[in-house]
Amino acid sequence: MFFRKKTDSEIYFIDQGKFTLGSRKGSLLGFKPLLLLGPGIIAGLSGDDAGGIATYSSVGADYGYKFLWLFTLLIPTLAVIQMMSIRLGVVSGKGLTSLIRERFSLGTAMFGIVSLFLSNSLTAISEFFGIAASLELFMVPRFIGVPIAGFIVWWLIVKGSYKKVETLFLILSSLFISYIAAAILAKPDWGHVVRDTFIPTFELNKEYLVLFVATIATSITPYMQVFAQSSVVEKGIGIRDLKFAQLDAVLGSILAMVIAIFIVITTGATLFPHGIVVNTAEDAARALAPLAGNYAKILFGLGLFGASMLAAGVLPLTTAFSTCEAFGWRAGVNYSYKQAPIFYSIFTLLIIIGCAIAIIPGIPLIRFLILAYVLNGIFLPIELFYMLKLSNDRSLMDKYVNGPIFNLFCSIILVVITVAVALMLLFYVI
Amino acid sequence: MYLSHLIGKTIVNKSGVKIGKMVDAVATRINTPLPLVSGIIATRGFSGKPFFISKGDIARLEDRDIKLSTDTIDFTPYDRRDMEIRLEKEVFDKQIIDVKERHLARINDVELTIQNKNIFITGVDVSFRSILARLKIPTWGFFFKYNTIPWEEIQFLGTDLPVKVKIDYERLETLHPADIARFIFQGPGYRKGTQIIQSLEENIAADVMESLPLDVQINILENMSSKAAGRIISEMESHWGADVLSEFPTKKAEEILNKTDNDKALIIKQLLTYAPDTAGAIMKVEYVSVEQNITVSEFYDRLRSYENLPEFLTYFYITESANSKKLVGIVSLWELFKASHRNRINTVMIKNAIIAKPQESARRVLKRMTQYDFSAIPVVNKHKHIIGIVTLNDAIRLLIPKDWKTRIGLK
Repeated sequence: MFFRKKTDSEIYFIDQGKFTLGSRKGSLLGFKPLLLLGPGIIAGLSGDDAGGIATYSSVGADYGYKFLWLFTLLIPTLAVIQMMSIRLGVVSGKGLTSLIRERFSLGTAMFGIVSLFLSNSLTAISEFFGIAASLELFMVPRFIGVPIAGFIVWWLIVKGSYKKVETLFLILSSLFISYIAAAILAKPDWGHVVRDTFIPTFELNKEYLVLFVATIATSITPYMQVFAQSSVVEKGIGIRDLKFAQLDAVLGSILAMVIAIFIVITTGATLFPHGIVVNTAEDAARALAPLAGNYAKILFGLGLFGASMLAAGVLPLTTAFSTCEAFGWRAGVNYSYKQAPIFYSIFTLLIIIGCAIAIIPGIPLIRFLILAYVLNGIFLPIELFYMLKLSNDRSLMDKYVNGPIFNLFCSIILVVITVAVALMLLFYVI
Repeated sequence: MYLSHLIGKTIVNKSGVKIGKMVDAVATRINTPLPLVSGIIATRGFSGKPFFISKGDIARLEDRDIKLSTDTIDFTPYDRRDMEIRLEKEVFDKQIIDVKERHLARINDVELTIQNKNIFITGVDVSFRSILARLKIPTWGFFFKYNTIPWEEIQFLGTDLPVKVKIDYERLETLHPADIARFIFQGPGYRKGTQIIQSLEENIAADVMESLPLDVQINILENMSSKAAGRIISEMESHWGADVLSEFPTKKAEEILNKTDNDKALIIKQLLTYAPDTAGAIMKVEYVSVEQNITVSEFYDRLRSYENLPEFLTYFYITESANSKKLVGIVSLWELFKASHRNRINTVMIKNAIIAKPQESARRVLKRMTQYDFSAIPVVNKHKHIIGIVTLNDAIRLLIPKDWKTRIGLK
């Protein structure tokens, strides 16, 4: 609403000064400090959640360095897939489920949306196993600690203040970087490590295939893509920042995978030679002993707690958001329960189910965590199929469609995971 | 009658011979308040090409059967004519704005009404039941209910339409700009958002832009031509315009400013010289100032003569003379209201006004405003000339913590 003068007297006055546009730059280098905790890095780090730690620890403890070669495939694949999600979000300005709903026929779309919902719900529920496991390390009984933690998570979400404590959990979960130091202190046979990294091995038995599927699914969890895409949309990142957002995704992926690799090396060097099987969080914590000695339990416990709490808040929320978005239901904590009943129901139920399973006495938490990701392995190819379809759709992506390298890596992992899941199921049937 | 109930139904010709199955309906004038269905699309056999049946040839269109009034059917494959939209293919599943309830929803089904041999689109269904119905999953009426919104109460966004249809955003314009901003932010993505903003009345578009997060404003302006961007900037309050332009590369910003209203461009250029988060950067330049020697009634006449007034009218700023912008006093609306009409302005005004300097930090200015309980404070340059005002609203908005903004939808 501009104030135009009609009479002779001036209404506004312009101070005589020199016009230099440069004196008022919002950012120093012409772009936002995206690299500092951008969506890509957070999405990547969230890959090293409770399920990730459990799976990587078991892989190292059971098979030594034998799985390391898989990560040479997973690093570029994860980077490529995360970049794809970011690109989808930036170019379309929409979340993944919305795009699926709008771009496929209803039946196909529903199949994808329900798969994503199940996959995300599974991941969300599994985070409470992580909370339970970390609490046990501190001698807090599950049936007291888990409901309290669950309630805190729920309360923080409803009050809309999760963002405030997110940083705290993020810092706690970054304690897992200490695996890098622990790996070096554990004095692994580096020649052996390098050999196993570059010479692929494969075994055809049930136990191997289960961990194989879980490793892929926990490194590339469908949730990570949903989250990365919706956060670039939410942050309003435009084409102009696409390059930096993608760089951020690559850095996040590499960071996540480097931590994963060092967990495998650490457990491979400490637990594997002694034949220790990771059945409880305490077993897994022992791998940090070369670094932290008697404090290994505390270090591991804090990291696990932070990672689980971080994901336990973000996952139910993301699941509820993405599902409601696809169906056109109201979503958001600034609505009341009456206005957005389904949104509230979804995340509340996920938290309750997660807590309820986690407090069952005597359940093997680590096994359950791995199981959650084995099941996720079934949903991953479905999600990848939709993502590939969308990011190759020229009418949607225009000149930002997938390049051949993107399609190649996606297709490889799509085939690998599908074959692995099929073989695993086959072994279970036999 | 819902479109999804018709899809898949067998079509028989006048003599009762089956000629195919209905797969879609075609609408014209989708952008009007009462869109018309011009015909249906059918297929023949298992892999037959879809063909068009004009609405004139349809004798009966019901859930139970579809009967034609002719035996001569043109089986040439359907080819889209101008402005024709396929409902199942291009309208189903897209986002709309429920204008009455003020929220985003999705079209799960389309309601058709037949009147005087014409088929109209009269509503859209947004319920879960219609999704289940389309998936052929049986439902129970008492548990899942239809929720059909009349077509005139929704704003059709026309996402991803294959033909260029000028969508009329009249219904959207009846909403508060902050609501429109929320929809653009949550819903259709900034590409579509750019289109919507460009189609809105310029003053509404400017208000919407002011309510959007800065990053989204930048994305939207970046997607526009400099000319369109300039038109919107011309209508935005200068300090918002300066905020968003400060994020652009200098060349692009100058290009946009060249297309902006001259007076506004000059002010924005001036505002851009102040450092971020200073009084100069957040000040409004839309305020009323008058010379001190006129009478109250003369001032009233002056106010009436203005085409449009600035939003902020709580205080008026009194200057030395018509030619000098030196600030000599402030008069509030209430004091003016009480004063006798014959009084000169300078007898009712408060002298010794509390002022701010353009280089001062916004935080300090806000503190002073709360200290003296003012809802606005004038900003004066070194010659004591008034160059703008900082209102409480602008200062608060700048200082609100980030997650607050998220919660109240400002982001």
